[in-house]
Amino acid sequence: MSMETISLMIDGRQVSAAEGTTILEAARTAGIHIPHLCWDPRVEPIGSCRLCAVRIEGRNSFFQACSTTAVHGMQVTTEDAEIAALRKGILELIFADHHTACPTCDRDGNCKLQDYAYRYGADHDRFGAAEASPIRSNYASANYGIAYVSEKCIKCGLCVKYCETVQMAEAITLAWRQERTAVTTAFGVDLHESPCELCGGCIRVCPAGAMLDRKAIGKGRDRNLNRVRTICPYCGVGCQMDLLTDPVRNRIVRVTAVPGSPINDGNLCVKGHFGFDFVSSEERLTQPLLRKADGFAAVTWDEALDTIGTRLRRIREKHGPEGLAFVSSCRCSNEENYLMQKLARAAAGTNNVDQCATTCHAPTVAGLASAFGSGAMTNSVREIRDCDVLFVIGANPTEAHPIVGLEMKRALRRGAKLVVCDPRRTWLAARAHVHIQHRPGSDNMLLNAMMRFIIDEGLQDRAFVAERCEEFDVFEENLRAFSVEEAAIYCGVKAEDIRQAARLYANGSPSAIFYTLGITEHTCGTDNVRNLANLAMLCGQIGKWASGVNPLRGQNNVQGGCDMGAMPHKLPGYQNWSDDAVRAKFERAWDRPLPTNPGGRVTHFVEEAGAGTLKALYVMGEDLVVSEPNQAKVVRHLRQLEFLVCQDLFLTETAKLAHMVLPGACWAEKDGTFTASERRVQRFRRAVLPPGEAKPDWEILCLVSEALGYPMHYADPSEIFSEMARLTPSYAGMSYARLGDEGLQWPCPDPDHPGTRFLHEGTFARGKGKFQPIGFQPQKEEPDESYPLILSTGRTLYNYNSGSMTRKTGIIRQKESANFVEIHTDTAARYGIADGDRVRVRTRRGVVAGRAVVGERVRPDSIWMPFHFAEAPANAVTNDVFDPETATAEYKCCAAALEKAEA
Amino acid sequence: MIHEMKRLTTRIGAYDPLDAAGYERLGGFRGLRQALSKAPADVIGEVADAGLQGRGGAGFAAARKWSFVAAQERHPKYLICNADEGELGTVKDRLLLEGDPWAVAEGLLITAYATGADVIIVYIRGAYREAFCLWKELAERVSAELRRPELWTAAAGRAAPELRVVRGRGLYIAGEEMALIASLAARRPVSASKPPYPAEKGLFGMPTVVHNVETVANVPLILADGAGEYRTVGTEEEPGTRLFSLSGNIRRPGVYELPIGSTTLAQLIDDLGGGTLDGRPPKAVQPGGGTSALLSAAHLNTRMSSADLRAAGSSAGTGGVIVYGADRNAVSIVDELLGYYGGESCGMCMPCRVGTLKMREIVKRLLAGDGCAADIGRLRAVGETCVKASTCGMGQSFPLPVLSALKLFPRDFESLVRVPPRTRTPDQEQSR
Amino acid sequence: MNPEQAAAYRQFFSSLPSLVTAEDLFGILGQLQDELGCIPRAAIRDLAGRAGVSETRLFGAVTSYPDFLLAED
Repeated sequence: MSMETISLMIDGRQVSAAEGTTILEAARTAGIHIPHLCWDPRVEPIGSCRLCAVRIEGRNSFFQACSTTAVHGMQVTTEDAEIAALRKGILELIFADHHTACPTCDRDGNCKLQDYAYRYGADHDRFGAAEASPIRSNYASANYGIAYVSEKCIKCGLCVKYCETVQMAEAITLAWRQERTAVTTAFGVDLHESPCELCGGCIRVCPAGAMLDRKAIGKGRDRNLNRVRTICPYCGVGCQMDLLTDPVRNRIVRVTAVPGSPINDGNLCVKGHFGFDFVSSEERLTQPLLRKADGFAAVTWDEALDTIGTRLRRIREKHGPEGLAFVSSCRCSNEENYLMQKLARAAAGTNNVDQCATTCHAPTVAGLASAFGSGAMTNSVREIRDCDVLFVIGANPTEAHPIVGLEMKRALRRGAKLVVCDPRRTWLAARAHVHIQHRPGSDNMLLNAMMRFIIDEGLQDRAFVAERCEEFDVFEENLRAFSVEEAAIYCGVKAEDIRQAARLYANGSPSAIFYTLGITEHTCGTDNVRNLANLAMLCGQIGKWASGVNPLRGQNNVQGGCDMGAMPHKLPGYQNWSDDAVRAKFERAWDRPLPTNPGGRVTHFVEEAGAGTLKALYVMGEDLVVSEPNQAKVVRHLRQLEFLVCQDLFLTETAKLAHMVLPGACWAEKDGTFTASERRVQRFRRAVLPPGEAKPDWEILCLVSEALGYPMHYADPSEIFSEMARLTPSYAGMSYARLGDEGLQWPCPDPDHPGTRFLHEGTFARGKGKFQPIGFQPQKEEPDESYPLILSTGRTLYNYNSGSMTRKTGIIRQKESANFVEIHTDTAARYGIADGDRVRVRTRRGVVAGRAVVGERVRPDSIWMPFHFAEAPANAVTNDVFDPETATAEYKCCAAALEKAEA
Repeated sequence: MIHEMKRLTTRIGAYDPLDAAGYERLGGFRGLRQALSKAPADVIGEVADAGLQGRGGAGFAAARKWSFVAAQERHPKYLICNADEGELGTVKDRLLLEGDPWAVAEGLLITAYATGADVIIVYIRGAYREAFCLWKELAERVSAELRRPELWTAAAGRAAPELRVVRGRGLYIAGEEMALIASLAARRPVSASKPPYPAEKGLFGMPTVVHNVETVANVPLILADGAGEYRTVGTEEEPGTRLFSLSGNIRRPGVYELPIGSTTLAQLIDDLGGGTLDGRPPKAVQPGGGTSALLSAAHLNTRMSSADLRAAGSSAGTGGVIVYGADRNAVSIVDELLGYYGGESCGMCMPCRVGTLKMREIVKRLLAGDGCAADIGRLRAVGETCVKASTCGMGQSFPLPVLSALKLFPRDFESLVRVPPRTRTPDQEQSR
Repeated sequence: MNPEQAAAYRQFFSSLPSLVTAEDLFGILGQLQDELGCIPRAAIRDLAGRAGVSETRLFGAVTSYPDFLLAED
């Protein structure tokens, strides 16, 4: 990776740059702006605008700074009278093809074309102004989110290049010639019918205001809008974004992102760019609601808090602190998660506090901690592009973690090799060098066979195993029972593919593992994770740049929720409350004795509510009814609670069962920090005011704590963060002031520590890496005659979790509005099902309907369904059997029957 | 009185174009045999010694292109023969393609041997239907000939290159190097900024050499008789002969082969072309195809070498000499040219995409009597911007005839300008 | 596209090799144009699929040539 540094003169200044850098980039790093319209740091130079023409000493013609490589000793002049005149001339020609509508253009005030015109005195009307063509429909006319104004388009091709090479969607192209030249989809089909993934990249890169957010048109020009730098509230990748808000009308007008941002480099996915209609939704809760005999009634905050305090205290007195449980939220900030577990432990006196990580990555936390001593993504998103081999198992990043997917695409373009193990033929799988389409739930069979093969072939990293790891012998002994040939039969894949995958991974320099819920959401989830740790250690593929084991977390702050100790067995920073020194530290800080009950998981809470041992449940920002398996049972059990409090943005399915509902402020209405998958702690900021009487969750938690007799006072979230950082060694060096725009990656133990890019360099967090022998255990519910198929559930690109946020956004509804079931062509033929038919999926727990999507994406023995649709809830049918260690449910496989529904 | 010197055109009409044996009897394949007896580097050396320059317009040294591609280690390498001859007033490539195709094929094989090219693609202009049909058949015969051990396998020591023939689809700009490469990759046929050059990153990102037909046809001569013999004609900087396509207001239009620099424009027009139709000196001449600057009658004694034509203010270009009669108005000449080139921009870069349209629009306006004085300045401004700022040769040169016309014949433009309305006095208004 | 053209196209497509590379595409499009007098919309989809390039890209390319005539199915 080391690159020669060269030195050149730009405008008389000495500039150093990495070898291979273009003149434009070299100038940019030195703070010299060379005008350009069609250039973007993420896209290969196009060279269509010709504005970046510069002079090179000793050469005759002009050179395009964007595409000319800087050479050592070069002397560059970025502007003189002749260049300025040339730029003026080019601009005047561009204006002849650009309907100049600055007074009514949303981009007014943030437009390079406008800036350059002013700077060079270009006359926009010198060659006759381009006129607005009569309303002519184009490929985007029918789209709810993206608008294309062809008469403003300068046909620079930047949006097309971004779509083709960064997003790799290839939805749009320049087509036709001469006056007809325009951006279009193939045959001009409507954008939402095209391969467009609605990432909004075309809007963000357009230099001419031709690509616009349709919903933002006329809602405010850039010059009048506030720009608030914040973090995306959807998945766990942690993309930085700017909210452009109208301060007068208190609303988010549109979203954008700036190249160079720490994790996402200015890229966003459909949810990040468009998914914010929920903020100003009419359905937002604006007042506390109390259940009365005839339904909910609005009450004052005083009344609400009084009721909560009284009833929780009464239950605690009668049933002990064990009768209370608290569900924190991975959608909320670190500060709020910290407060929630403090509320549970210090105010209520119970370890009954948990959050949704149980439904997803609890096995990661447990499994990786047991092997390495720390349960988080070991590398950073930025390192992905430098991977030689990407080993992706049980993950569909281009949909579930789109910006990680984008970095993987970037790695592919740079020549990385890709191994995908997934029962579905995902976007990445279709482009993989090896795709192992194994039977759902057969991961350990596959991994053990791979490792057996690696050892047989001598591909393991002997030195790494000897120096950095322990307990290898037992592990190796266990592998003797496995073979590639047997695994190939059980997994339903080619033996040679398993061997090839093993070779690629073991030999990659470097290789990195990426996984998500396809690994964890099994009854053997923790074992699956341990086995991935085994694989990485065996090959020495961990503890290096671009090499490690990387769980991609599902929610914006699921990493932080875990870090903050919003789980029963750990205090903030994964400190054990059984450790006396730790206990003493927290008891001193909180001025309360810490509880010693083991505490339960979310899934236990549901069970205990049914059993009558749990009386009160306090739920913040979670929709248990939609997200927990076996929905009918969840509803039945929650109904038995004496007191259920829900603190949320909306009246969710769970909130409908509650006795008290509190209106929370959403992420855009408060301050705080999120911790991204790559352990980066980043600040998000208030952009608008909450609706009605809704309050930030941290404020609500303080009030509730006070009502429980344990007052907590903080002026703002930074004070909560400071208190947390003092108590949490891995966050100890962080403060709001240090986080700034870039954030910091834990561990960051002291104020001078720069944060940690990748984990386990030189030594593992627990000292030696621990090999653990993992046997194979099949899924709990095998297909049989009555339920002959394996059902898996998962996430799509367009929607998010329970859908309560994404489904309020028009552009997303337009693209994906209802539940569907992926069925293999052969299976569909056997059942007489055609693409688009309505089908029913039945399991021992319930039945769900959806539209059939027939194709080759799933195996013939499997079907797949998303879990975003409350009216067709996948979890009505999923199996409520759990990983014994983490109580994570087996969402990824259960036995199911399929039938065609009558029209 | 001057005469043609037939080197490239000597076999035209002398054999059946599909008959390899006929070609061989007339001295064919001597160059290839010679080439195969040398190391590829020595073949490149011979071509370098001969000083062969591209005949497609840019005049780049052929041997330098070859050595860039030869130095690349990635395969497959491509050799593209650019036969998408679209320049106005230029038909020389067609003559070679149809009249002596084996010489072109032999030149391509030598080039492939020297550069290590694995695939040869001949991209023939869509309108040259006969040439395309001929070459489709020729391609098969070439592979048959290459099975003769002495013509390739035994000597070259590697598999013979594959020869493919592709037909253009009516797009002038597809003849531009980068657009041609994009076209063959089934991408949008548009130009691209250089660097990177095709030698490094050409078709499908692989090393690629692109040559004009006439350039290639010179190669067998150089190898057959040596660089020394080749250099006996032409100038020191520009050895060899060129094919001049003579058209326009001329008695005997046609393609004439002449040693470079030996002849003046006047000699070509009068001695070989028989003079203009009305016998008067022409109003203007384009010496290097439709995108070369106009020369006035005062320049007719310019010798036809790149250096001399450049000194006179124009260029040798593609060797297409277009003669405009004394009765022509310069504005109508440029209108004619812009009528063609104004519709041929690939649209990749902004100056050319908009500039072509705007120049055409302004000239039309002048001719219609709707122009104003500022339009002349605008016309010059667009032209100059395009020349300096455009990406490819077309964008940089299509305004040259206009700019030269503005310089040489300013009265023709000014006389079309009507008095702008707002400077009319009330009296003038009343007298209308 | 008239019925004869549609039939001719089906015939043409079925005679193509199962593996078409991007290198062949421009030539195949030309052949189609010469034989059918147009390039059917279906051909863009079919050829893109077979050669592993996007329909979008192929559409952008084809619309650039005066001698290519796109026809609706």
